[in-house]
Amino acid sequence: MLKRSSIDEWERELITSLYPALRRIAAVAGSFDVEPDDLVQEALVRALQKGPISDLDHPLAFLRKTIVNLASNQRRSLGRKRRVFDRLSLEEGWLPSYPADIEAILDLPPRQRAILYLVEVEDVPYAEAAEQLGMTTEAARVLANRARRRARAALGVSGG
Amino acid sequence: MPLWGCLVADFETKLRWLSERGNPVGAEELIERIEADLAGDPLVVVAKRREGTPMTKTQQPPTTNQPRRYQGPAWAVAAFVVVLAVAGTYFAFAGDKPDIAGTPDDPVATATAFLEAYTTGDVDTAAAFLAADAHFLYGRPADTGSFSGDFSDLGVEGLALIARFDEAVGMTWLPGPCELQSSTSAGSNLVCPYDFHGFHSDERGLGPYSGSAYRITILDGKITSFIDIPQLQPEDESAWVVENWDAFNTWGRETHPQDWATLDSEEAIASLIASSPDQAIEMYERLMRGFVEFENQGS
Repeated sequence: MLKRSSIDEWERELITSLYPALRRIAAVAGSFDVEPDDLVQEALVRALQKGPISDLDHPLAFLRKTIVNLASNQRRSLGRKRRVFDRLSLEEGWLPSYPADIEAILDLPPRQRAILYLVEVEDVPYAEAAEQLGMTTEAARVLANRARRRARAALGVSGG
Repeated sequence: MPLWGCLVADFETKLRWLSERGNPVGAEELIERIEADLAGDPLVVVAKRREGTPMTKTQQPPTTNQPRRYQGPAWAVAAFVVVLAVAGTYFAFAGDKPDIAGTPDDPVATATAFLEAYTTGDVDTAAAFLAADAHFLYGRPADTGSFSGDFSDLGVEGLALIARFDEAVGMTWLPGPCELQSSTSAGSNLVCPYDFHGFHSDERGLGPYSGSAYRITILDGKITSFIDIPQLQPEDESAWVVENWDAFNTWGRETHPQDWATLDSEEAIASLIASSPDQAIEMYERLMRGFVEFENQGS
């Protein structure tokens, strides 16, 4: 495989146009202590190592799916580190940096956060959101419902 | 506005805030980073990373201890094996099965026929492919700790119970094509990858889960070694565990606390399985039906 070190103009334009959407999903799906731009970068590097992004049929869907997968993997690998870090933080009196009412979201797995964001904020239909995240439409609905239930429980809302 | 409407609006605000967190570096700088990365100069990338955003001290980090996860049916089955061993209830493959030999000159066909029987719960046929002294192992002890077991002494009855248990917890095995890896005087060594569904993940729009494989050794048409290497990974690193056990555990604790008192520890479920395997299977079947119904609500 040829080593790529430069990005041609056509791909620069494509990346520039995709960047805001990619960064938003990275910010939503990624752990709070992971820079969204780092996730976007890693996803793009992985894609470019395989070939031109412009060759992809659905580059936005492909890259968003990659970002959410990376976020899921990082969340798992960060799990133990974070538990240690939490203990250290408590001992040293350091507190994290997110607003107090955001925890209900941050506790959701990346895929659930992503599907809920696409459906609720970007108004993406389930079928399209499912394609962007590499799952069936049915799975997307199930995950979104699960996320809502978890959020409802976390926020202390009963019923429904 | 109904209560749920308020919640959605609130959720939307939070998600929107989250999507805009931090300070974007911009496409231009990102492309520079990517080019440096592709050129194999990670130091450039690190050097270009901007400083972190200021911290606001607004919230205590979550400190709730998460309940211990188990690998789903995996450890329960392992526990079952331990129970049988402790109770001295050993079965042997030899002597309690018909003598069906595979095709000596076609180990792939033998493995495929065995797996077709084994993965569909036809344990009589499956056991007939096993040599009398076959090794029948589950999991990778080095990786999975207690989630492994030596099933060599289980025999047909033990396999049948495991098959019932697998069915109760909604396991479905999807074996792929077997591949011959090598042939030695000890036999032909094959690897047969497989995907699986668990906790009825197929009915819940999840899975199948890949990354698992059977390693099979066949000598003279008989399986002398069968090692099931499921997608067992350390805690927190398996989509199978995260997507299924976590959800099942959360649901069960909230809706069936009395049952959960029985299911919550390896010792407790091992005891239940030992004293009443039928009751354990019935309980899992009942809970799984409720769990699937709950998961699919409104979908």
